[in-house]
Amino acid sequence: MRELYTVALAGNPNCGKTSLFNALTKMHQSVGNWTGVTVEKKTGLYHKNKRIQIIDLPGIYSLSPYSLEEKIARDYLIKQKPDLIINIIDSLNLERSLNLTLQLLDLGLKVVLALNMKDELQKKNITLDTQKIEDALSVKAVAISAAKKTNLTLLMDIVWKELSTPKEKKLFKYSEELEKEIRKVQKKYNIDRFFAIKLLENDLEIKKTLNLENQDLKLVNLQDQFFLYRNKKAECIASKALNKSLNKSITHKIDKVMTNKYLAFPIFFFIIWLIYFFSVQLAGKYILTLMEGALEELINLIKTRLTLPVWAEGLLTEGVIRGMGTVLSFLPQIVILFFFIALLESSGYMARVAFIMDRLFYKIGLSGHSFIPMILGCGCSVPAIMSTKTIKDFSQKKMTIILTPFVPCSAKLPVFALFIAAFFPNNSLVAPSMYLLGILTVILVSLILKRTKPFINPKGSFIMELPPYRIPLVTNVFMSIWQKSKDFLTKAGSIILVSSISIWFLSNFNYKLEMVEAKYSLLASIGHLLSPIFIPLGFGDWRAAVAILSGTIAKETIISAFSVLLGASGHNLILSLKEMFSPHAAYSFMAFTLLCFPCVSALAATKKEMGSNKWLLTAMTIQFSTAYAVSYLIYNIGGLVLYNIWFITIPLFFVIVFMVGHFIYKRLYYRR
Amino acid sequence: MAKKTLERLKKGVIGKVIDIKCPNTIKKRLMDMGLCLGAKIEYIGKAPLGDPLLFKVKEILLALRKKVAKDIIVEI
Repeated sequence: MRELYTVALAGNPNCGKTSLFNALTKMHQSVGNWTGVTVEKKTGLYHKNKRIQIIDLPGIYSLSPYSLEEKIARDYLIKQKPDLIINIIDSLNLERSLNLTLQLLDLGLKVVLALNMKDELQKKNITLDTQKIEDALSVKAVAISAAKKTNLTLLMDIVWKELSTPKEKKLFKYSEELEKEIRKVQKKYNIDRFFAIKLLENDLEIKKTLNLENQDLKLVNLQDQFFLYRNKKAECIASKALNKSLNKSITHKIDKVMTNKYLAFPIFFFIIWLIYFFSVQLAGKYILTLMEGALEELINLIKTRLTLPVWAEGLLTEGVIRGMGTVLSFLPQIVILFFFIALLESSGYMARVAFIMDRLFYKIGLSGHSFIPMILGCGCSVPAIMSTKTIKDFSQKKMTIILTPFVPCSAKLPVFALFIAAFFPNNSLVAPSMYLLGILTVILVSLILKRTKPFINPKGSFIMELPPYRIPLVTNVFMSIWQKSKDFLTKAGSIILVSSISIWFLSNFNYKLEMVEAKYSLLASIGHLLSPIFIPLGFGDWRAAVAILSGTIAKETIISAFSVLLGASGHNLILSLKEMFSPHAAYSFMAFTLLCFPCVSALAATKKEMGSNKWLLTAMTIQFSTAYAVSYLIYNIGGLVLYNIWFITIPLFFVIVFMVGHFIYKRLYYRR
Repeated sequence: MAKKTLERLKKGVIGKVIDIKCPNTIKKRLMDMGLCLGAKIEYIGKAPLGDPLLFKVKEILLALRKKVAKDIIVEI
């Protein structure tokens, strides 16, 4: 007997897979990523028999992959070959679910069917004859309810029995004519039955896997025949097994309201407002103030009670505790955000959001799913970027993550307020112009990005199922919150902590490692070094560069950085700023603050959702160059209007910036 | 028996899919999601801004952009 058996859960999206996984593994589960991508990989041990390891595959419609998730699921099944597949079937959608079952049987692995939604069938007075399905497919089938936890032990007993007995060679047979073709191909290339079938279905990925992509195989394309045969067979089995057909009138009635021409948007905006209010306003502001108070107390306590060397005290209070404070202050927001997201996703409303918003976004290469992150971005980019988890299409997800920080978050507002008080005290249009600038940049950059290679959506079309409305399961919601918060604390938390300590170090030490005032620190030296870069933008002063650098820890830090470096606060700070910036340079600085890459916390979230350093760097590069280009235009056009000195240099610089930008895009991303 | 493209199907009328002229990847996807040749399909409504369209195939609600629906031929 072996130590550990692997059992994969496979089924359509929304078939109750997560519920079954949670019920079978309880707390014995871990969440990671599939190698190289940010699609969640959940594994766990069966809580009654730790020798069964359960892997939750992403929801799939078929074994001819269309999305990244389906590709991952198929690759796992054909390369890792689990000992058994539990195929979860949505009994309310029996026919289509069986379509996938037939393809799973082609793999030649052990399969047990779990016919889910037993309770809902009973409610509708429909009987499901599992024997008929077992006879037709010669596999074991159990009717279960993952939500009510009925028959789960029975299911796992059957799984265990199947695991301990050798596999019987019974396959699902296609028509005689198709079988003949399958045998021919199998013999010719010496491959498994599944590969032969997919070759006959003209599956390009499989051709690649078999290293046959460059050869003309001269095979008949039997794609339609295979699909039709499976569809017919599934229809036939389903009609025999169910005593009457279903109707989902409740979903239809809810949809009449939720996607109604006039009500859809008000309802949607109300729901978004609720999420925004609770996660950004309430948790983000109220709890944050409470936590900051507690943090100050703690720092005071350390300063008064402990006698530490100056550097150790600084490291502890300014570096470690502040860093941890930042991490913890995001936690309430994230818990509440994921509470709502779990509710929206498992109730079925999230799919409706994409449906009603699609028209607004597809012209700029995004879909309705991108709307929620953009709105949340007005509060804070961290939860906004975390909420892109709901975007299934990877290229759209990446674009949304890059674009979301262009929306002015609440931490940037104090910076704008200070600059407006200093330079534009009587102009009420400056503050709204920041929002307008943010939105325009989102549209402009997405129009450019959508034409570049990694963001081109080859399928480019919107085919989506609107799942029936369901009441979310409490355990699933809490499981999701627990996993995502834990994930944020461990992955993003460590990055935030390390950067907080580094910035503290840089701003308190010089290159001889002596503790010095901020204006003689390493950070100031870096500021001196970087400041020439900002001359074309109108703020070549080294203190502006240092302020921007400290702004990476949190955008509102820009104010305290100016206040420390200029040795002034309140009205004096405004006067000193007026000496440093001309009005149009000040506006250019505001635009730069708005558009340049976000704070480390948001960057940590970006890294987590993008899944790699390469993508984090790409995002930062795009954000930095956008900020640079926009500020450049603002400063120089402002200069042209005000002074006319830059008249000749503008076109010149414009051409150079455009050429460099174009070259970089072409080099890095442009297809062919 | 009148032939129509799917996006011109009227509310309450049930059509039968007889041809899918979409690119192959999309065609496969549609067939996997239940919209196969011979399937009965009903137009339910459209999104508030006019696109995408919503259809019912075998009790499954499918949202398709007009662009895709134009390539699907139904028979009434």
